[in-house]
Amino acid sequence: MGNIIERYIYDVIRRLPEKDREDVENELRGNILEMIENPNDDEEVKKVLYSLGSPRLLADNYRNYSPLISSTWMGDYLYTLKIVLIVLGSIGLFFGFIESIQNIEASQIVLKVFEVFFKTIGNTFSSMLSGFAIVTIIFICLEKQSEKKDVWNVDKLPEIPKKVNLSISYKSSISGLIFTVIFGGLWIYLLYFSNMYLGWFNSDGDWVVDQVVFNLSYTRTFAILFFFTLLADVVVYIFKIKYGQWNKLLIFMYSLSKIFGLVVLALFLTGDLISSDFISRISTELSFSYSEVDNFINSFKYVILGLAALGNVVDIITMYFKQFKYL
Amino acid sequence: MTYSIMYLEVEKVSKIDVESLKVELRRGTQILIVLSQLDAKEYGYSLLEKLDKKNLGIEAGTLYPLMRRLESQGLLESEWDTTLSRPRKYYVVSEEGKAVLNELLEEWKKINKEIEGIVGEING
Repeated sequence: MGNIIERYIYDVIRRLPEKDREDVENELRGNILEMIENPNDDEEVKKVLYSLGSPRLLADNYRNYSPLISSTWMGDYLYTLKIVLIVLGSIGLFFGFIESIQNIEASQIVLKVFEVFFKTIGNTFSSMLSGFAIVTIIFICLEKQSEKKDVWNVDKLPEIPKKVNLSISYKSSISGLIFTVIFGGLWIYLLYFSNMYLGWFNSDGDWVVDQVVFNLSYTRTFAILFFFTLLADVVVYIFKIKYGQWNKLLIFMYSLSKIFGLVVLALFLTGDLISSDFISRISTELSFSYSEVDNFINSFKYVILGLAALGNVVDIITMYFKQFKYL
Repeated sequence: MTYSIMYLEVEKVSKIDVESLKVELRRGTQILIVLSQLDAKEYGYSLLEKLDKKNLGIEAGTLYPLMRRLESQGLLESEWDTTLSRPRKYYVVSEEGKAVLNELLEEWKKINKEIEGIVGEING
């Protein structure tokens, strides 16, 4: 059983600075043995060791740790960290998305969606992690190098920020849900039957599609993906109705659904969307060359994508900035 | 109805963990207690027993590191006795420790008086 005492002592002193180990070891051993009347009584030895507490806690008491960032700096640290995480997270999100779109390795559309989505999330997380590390290191240095002087001036107190209303209107959630389902459903239906409704129509007699705008197999694949984005939106709306106000989980879900929707839209626009027959028909009808029409459509697609990406990122940043103080 | 309100109150208090609040309250007195009991030299376990007899229970896992810390701050002095079969490290309060103890005792009397006043108000 003596072995247990030695193992306990070892587990304590291994956590201490080298210079203190021998002294603490001898003193602790002496005190433990004084506390035990019969060293052969296993139960008594265990009882004494348990009364000393866990080796980790005892070592902590011996070391008298001072935190890397003390309470003096903690408030400023957390405030700075929140801002840096939001800014770097947004930058990581935007550029991660652009980079992922430009360097897709997967061949199948579904795999492309997963690739871009997780690469974007990964980039966002990686940026935030860097921000966390940088801010933490800076504050650790501040803690070590300087003594914070609590000097303040009553004239320089900050203005009280406008109180942000965190509640979500029940009516707007319900109407949003209804509109999302109706228009989302309509969009998916249109994509799935794009050959029937979107095309260059021949108006001689009955309305008949001469040239379809989209490649049907392509839009049908994306109809399924847009169904999942619709599903994600619906889930977010359901939680909006359930909670009635913004909270961390809801903001997180909202951000994820936005990013997912953006990824699907980006892949939809950058792939083989427009049928070559339609481009030919347009170029013939409007007396432009095929490549001119093709370039115009591509530019148009990228403008839409850019606006959507910017809008979504700004939306997410604004929401975090407005509400992070109150969550 | 009264019963359910009382039940809620009990629930609320138990969630706060009163025991940890008591420990927190007592923590501030530990240095004063240790300094006051080391006018004659003691080793870790002997002080633990001494405090226990006076119902000034400080856990061993808190007391032993605290004695070392007070020594490193110059409030206690120590020496090893290696003449015994089991070497012991003895601690005694230093001159600086005595001065600090006096200041702490004065502060304690002041706090005690202030708290007594509050207790009087609460008890009506």
